[in-house]
Amino acid sequence: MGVSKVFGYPGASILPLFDVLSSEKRIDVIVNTQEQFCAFAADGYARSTGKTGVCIATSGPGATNLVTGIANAYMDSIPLVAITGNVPVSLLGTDAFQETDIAGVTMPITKHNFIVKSVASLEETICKAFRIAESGRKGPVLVDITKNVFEEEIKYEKYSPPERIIPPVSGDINACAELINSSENPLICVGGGVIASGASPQVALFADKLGCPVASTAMGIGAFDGTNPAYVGLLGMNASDGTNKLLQETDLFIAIGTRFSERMIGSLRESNCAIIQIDIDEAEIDKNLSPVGAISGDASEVLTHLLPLVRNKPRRLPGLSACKNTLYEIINDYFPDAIFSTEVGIHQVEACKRLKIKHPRSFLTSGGLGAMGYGLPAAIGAAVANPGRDIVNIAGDGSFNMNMQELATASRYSLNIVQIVINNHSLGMIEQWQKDKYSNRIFACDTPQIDYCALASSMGARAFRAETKAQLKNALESAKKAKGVCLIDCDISRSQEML
Amino acid sequence: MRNYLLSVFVNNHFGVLTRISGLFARRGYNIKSLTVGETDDPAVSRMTIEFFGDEHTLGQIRKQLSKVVDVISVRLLDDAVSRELFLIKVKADDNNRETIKGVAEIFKAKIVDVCPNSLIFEITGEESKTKAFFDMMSTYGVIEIARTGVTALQRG
Repeated sequence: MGVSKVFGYPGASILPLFDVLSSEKRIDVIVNTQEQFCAFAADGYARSTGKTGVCIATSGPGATNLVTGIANAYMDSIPLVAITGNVPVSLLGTDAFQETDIAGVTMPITKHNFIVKSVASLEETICKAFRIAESGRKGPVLVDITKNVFEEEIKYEKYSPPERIIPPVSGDINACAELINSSENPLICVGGGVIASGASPQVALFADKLGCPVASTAMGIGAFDGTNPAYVGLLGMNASDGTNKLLQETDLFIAIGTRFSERMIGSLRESNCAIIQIDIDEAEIDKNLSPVGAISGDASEVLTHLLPLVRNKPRRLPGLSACKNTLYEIINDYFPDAIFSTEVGIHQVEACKRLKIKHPRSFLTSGGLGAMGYGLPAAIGAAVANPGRDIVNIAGDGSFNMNMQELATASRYSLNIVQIVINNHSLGMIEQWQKDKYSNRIFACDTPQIDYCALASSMGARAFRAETKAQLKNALESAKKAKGVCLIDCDISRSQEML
Repeated sequence: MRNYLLSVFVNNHFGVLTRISGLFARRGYNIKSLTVGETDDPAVSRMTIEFFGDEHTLGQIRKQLSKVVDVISVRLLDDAVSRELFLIKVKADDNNRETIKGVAEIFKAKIVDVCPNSLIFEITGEESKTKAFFDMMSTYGVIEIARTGVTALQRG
């Protein structure tokens, strides 16, 4: 299948597989500290490379711990194959020790799942699992294997990796081209589908031809060069006012590879502009919003069809006000070409808005599920897959408290990861909501007092504390030079200039 | 908003029914009836799904169903022969048994069980017929009913 790294955690029902992996030279097993992180790391591996991520866990709690990671990959259409062991087929359905119907549990959060009860169907199932995960709109597939299968023998012939199936382009391409040609003020919006398809070069050509601004969803960040003057940033609920105002001026919204999540359609509904929708999943067309024109198909193929049909337009880019120099711009300055991951919360929104990501597969964030605890294991997955690159995880203290033990995993494998904790000693986004929507009744937002530097040192990471921008710059400078894992505890509660 | 009938051909193995019914439940589509049975090809089952909704929902259901790996094809039955079988247990004693039997004959309902205090009828047909029969029987007192759900084939 072309997989050389897998993320796993051993347990009784999956031990036979680990036993084989122990002597398998072609596959490295990265052992995280908990199965959820295996799934997130496999997801980070997949997002940063475009390959399918693989995570492996045992039955029962091992399998259920994967669930959040699988749901995360499902919401963001990330190709993932989760392999779980289960009790022997003779014990299935008897409520045996560590038995969970994980296929039942994951049915609504996988593209498909399988239970393999006999070795005769194992090879075919694994092939199918990879093909399904990678075909069409990508997503997670779970293969639950009963323990007896590992102990059975079969004559095994080497198979060729499965072909990825790309659905054909369908829809009225000419009509869409006509709509585009007759529009005066189009706006392109890139979503995760552009990255999944590898359509960034075509999008760049398309935007150049139309001379129009390009916005992004959270999942689309990096699909279009964030430093290009045509890039106007994140759209939707968390966007800056300037970007959302563009929607009022545009007469045609060209959405490529986005499912119009409820976080972004509010501002779109207000604007009443006509919409052209390009998506690989036909079921996404006309699901949340009704487009005037729609083409279903792989973004790259659709644009290849569309490009010769659209005429050049004069360049017309809005002058958005320059960003102020916040922590995020500073971090970005030190790591202009890094792969960034984020956790979930205010820091995530700020990172989406402020980081200038130049390349696809360089911004990893839990878009649909909004899973706190995603970023650090995702960074681990990305670091494993991209040994030559800087990997930076931006976290809030709330999220970091959910996955901090993964620093030890990062250290154990000598990964180059900079972990930045934007520390306000609070669940900032929750606090903000309670202020705005619950009459300022702040409750359950305090985070425990933890000395993150001491913690990081105990897990083999270098640690820096920054309470001012000058200290932050020093820390970033040192972290950039250092090899291995670095943590920067960026305390924003002590100095106004840090906010 | 109206009733729609879909024929969904699926791989005939365990768990497929759960996948389909789960999809309807998850997305809030309203199933009126779902029946499933093997086709002439034992590897394939036909599900007949009747649901109530609008055209937008119909479009979504067809597209979402088509995404399920075990679904082979989805067909909208817009000109179909549809049938459902009812078993209806009605209160009946020596005083009214003959009257009830007479009504049942008009509907071509078959008596499949006779007890001193009840009768069980079997009736097959389209919804309008089975419903009318049920309404008639209600005047005598229906003890319980069992329905198979709708099965249907496109005409022609």
